[in-house]
Amino acid sequence: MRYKIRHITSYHYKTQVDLCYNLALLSPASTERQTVVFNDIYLNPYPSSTRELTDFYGNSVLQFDIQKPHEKLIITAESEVDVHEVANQPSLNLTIKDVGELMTWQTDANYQLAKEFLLNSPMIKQVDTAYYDYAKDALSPSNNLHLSVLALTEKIFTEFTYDPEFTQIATPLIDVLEHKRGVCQDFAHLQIACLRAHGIPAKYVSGYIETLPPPGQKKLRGVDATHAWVSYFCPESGWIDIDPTNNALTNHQYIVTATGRDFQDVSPVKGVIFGGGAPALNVSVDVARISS
Amino acid sequence: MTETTHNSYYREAFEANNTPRAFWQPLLSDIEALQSQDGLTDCLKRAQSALQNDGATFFRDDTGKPSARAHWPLDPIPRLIHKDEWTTLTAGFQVRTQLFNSLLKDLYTEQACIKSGTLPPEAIYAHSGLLRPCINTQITAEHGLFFHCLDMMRDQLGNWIAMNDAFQLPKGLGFALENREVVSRLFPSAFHETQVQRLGAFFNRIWQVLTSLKSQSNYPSIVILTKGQQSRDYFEHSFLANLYGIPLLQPQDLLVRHEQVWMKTFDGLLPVDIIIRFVEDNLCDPVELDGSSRLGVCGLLGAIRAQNVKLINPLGISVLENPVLYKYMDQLADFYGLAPPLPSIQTFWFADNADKAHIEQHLNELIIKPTFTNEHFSGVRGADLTSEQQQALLKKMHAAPHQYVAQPQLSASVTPSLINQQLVEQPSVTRLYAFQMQNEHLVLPSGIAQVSQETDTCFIRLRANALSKDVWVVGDQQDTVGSKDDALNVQSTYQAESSIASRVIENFYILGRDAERAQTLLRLIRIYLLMLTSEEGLSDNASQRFLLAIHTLTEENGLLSTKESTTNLLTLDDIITPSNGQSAITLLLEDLLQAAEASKEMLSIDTLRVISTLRGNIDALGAGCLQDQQHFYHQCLEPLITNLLALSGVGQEQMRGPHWQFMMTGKRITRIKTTLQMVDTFFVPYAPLQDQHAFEKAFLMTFELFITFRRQYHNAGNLEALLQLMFLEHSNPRSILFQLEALMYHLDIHPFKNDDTPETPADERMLIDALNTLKQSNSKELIALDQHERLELKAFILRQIEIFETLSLYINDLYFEHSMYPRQLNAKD
Repeated sequence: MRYKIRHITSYHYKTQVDLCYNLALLSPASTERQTVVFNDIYLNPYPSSTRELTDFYGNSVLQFDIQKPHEKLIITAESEVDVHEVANQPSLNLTIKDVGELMTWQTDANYQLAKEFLLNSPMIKQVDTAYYDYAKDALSPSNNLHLSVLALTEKIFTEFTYDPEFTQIATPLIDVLEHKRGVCQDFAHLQIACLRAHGIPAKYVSGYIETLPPPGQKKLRGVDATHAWVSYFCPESGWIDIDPTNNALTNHQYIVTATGRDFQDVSPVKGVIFGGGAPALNVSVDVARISS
Repeated sequence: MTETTHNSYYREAFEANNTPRAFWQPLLSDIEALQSQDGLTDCLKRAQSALQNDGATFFRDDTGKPSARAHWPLDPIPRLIHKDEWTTLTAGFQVRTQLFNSLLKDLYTEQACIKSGTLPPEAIYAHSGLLRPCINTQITAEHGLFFHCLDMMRDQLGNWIAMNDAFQLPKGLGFALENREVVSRLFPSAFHETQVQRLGAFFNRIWQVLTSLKSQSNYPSIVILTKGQQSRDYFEHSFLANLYGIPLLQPQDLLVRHEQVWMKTFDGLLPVDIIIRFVEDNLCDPVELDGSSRLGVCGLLGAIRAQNVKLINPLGISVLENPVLYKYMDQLADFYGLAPPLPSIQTFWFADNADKAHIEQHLNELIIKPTFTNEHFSGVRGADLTSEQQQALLKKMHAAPHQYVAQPQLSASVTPSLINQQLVEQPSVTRLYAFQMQNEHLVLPSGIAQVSQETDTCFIRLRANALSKDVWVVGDQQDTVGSKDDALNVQSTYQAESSIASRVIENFYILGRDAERAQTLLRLIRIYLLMLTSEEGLSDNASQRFLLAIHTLTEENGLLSTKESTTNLLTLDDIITPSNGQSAITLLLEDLLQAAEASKEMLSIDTLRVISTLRGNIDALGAGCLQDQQHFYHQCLEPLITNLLALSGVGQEQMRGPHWQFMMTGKRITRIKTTLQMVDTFFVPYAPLQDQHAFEKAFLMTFELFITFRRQYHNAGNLEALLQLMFLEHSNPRSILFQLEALMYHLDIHPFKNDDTPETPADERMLIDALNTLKQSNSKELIALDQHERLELKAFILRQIEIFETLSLYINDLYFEHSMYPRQLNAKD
């Protein structure tokens, strides 16, 4: 399946910004499940310098700075990605308890590197046993690993309300748990916190999901959005992606941009500005299937 | 030597049978000789006064509050290490440096030690010192670490044990030099007889190595980066900058453009190749590291990636400051194919199940430490906690097991020390310094020993209340000769003038401004006290007018005639020791000291001495200083005035350059303002003849013109002549005309003046305006009284003050840096 993605991020500043130094994580990386055919990022105004790099988690990053005064910043990322339908097959004969033991005793490189995703991260910190307790029925030690992760996904999907008004970037995760409201980023963070609390390595995935218009209608421009989901480490098979917002395993409609410990590692635009007042932010995403 | 009770400790200076070790003998003899003449106390005093003269102070925290400032604590008795032992020690140190260097390079590239299972991943991934943006950026790959500080102690059996490895900032390196300067003079004969190894070669070689690093120009430009004068160890930052003759910069003096670091100087941007940093690594770039940092240089990581700048030590190095690593030192040495390093203190990690059980069972015998040292918690003895506190701590440890380690309490060896004027043997830890590059490993043949001031404890982590000691490596022959000065014969790569940071220029302006105002203010107070106690005395009204004049002078543009008159009577106490906080005078003097501190590396040694004495004298201005007026006059006022005179004296002798021009500009503008302020208070409102004469006398004495005036005019009571002298007399260096002509000169040679524009620059226009108003003034008309006021005089003063207020603002806007702080740009609302 080939997709063409256009992701436009624009900042309109109240007052002039004198200069800025930024990083953009807007380029999908080629992996086993997807191949990047084409990718480019256009900046307006034109940057003073740019550098492409790969971060610690293997994501492609564009570092740029703009050294002249500007009142708006428009970042247009365009890519074409082939998504293959091969995904890791979860091993179905492991219990939650097995995972704990394997994580303790295995020292192969893939296990060693997965251990980072058991630890607290900048936006996902255990608060006493709150996340452990929330997931303990779904993730009881004798349960089958993959089935219970699916059960937890369903539990979050059923018990939580999708509410874009409720959370902002700074909303603590514990508030999401308390009020049972949030968006995809919050649900992903929550499920990661629960999995880690039960000894299952889990990471944050940012990307896009293809949306289809109601039958008979033409798809509107800019209606798609960035999406976030979870990847958990399944010993003996690898990382398995799962989407608590839609209560589903990921399929060919999911395109990965970046992975990390949590949103902070993969935020599409990072960095600082000098001056500018509060910016008005506008994001528009189009995911179009160009061949199947 | 007092008999020691430390039987279970290794004694540095004595054998088991109480006879001195041979290499200590010359020093112990010197000490004994001093002791027999009660000379040890003198010795301490001499050390302290030498440190004070050099301005060797530090802050107990990073707030920069004057109250946090403390004298560098020195125990004058050095700690000795024999050369043979030193050779073994440095060989072990080198292996240790190699190990940490291999680990650093690995952690920021392949992480093979983790993938291979040599090191538990949690030891690194749960440690805040791992700066993920620095991974795979060649930040550390090429050069690795430069400075390595190692805290060592000796156990009961005399074996050396590594207690702590520090890499973040080479703290204490400057103080080690300062200690040597002071201590070598206290025991000259022992110093020469024992052939103490010298420090010059170490610092000299560092310079050679650094200047040999590649750069685009012939010489790399090297700077020292400090957080500023409020940072704990600012003294040594400026000390090292002076030593190498390189700029001492604060983060706001630097910027990144086209992936190159630039220094903002008065003449424009200058490229920077190497930064010796005294700012913690996570604070260095708010773009990719700690986004809340105000001590960073935006885009620095980009410049490092482009390999346009080197940081010493590299960013991300604090990952090595992790005691968990001590548990795996032998495995790591094995993994990297190195010899086993010097033994480290036994370390138990709470994330390890066996260690956890041990810690829980032996809490009372252990010291609990965080794996990442922070401001709030650097370690605690289990035995010092109540059982509730122990439970609370254990609960925290269970919640974050990766973040805690425990180490046994060791009995450090004891060494002769002077504590509370008593000669005793005290436990000590010794910090060693190494600099390594391209397989060259240099160890400073000295260090800093820390001794505990408490007699009942061996818990001597480097704490605020410990004393520092010079460390002498003594032996039979001398390898390195030469003092630090003659060893440093490498040409500085800087042109003195062009490398002055804009911020430094501003500080010189403030220095000139504040010193002038403080001088006038204190002189007026002195004259007031003199006249108050003179035969004639002062009427109540006159006395009140004096106090108003003093009060008005504490404000930069304050004028009595524009103020609402109040019925409240002022007292000198209100001005000097107000009940509601610091007095304006103290604030003014503190501001002056701040400016001097911030431009310290540009000041001569004598200027620094004056500043240092001034600081001591300001402290005398505290509450209650006015209780005894005689004492205040002689012990507070006189010394302060003398200091300020000395300051303006040495200021005159400063090298001419933009900083000097701005210091003089600050001084001239302030001199005009203070003159006008005093004329305003004393002569605009009507005063009875007798008071008027007192005012004239006081006025002339404040400006040191009394004798001149008397010689010229024979009599007092000639206001017209007085104003003529103060306003328009060419030959009077205090007259406004004189200041205006000097300002014309200073501002005219400032750069940034665009000679191409036909328009006269604004500052020049203001000066011409002031000059015209001045020349058109007529002293006779000015002194004319209209009812109770001299209205003409008042209008004249208002006009002039307005011009100079505008001029100050203009200079501030045009020449001085106005730091803006960055804000995070979010990807979501």
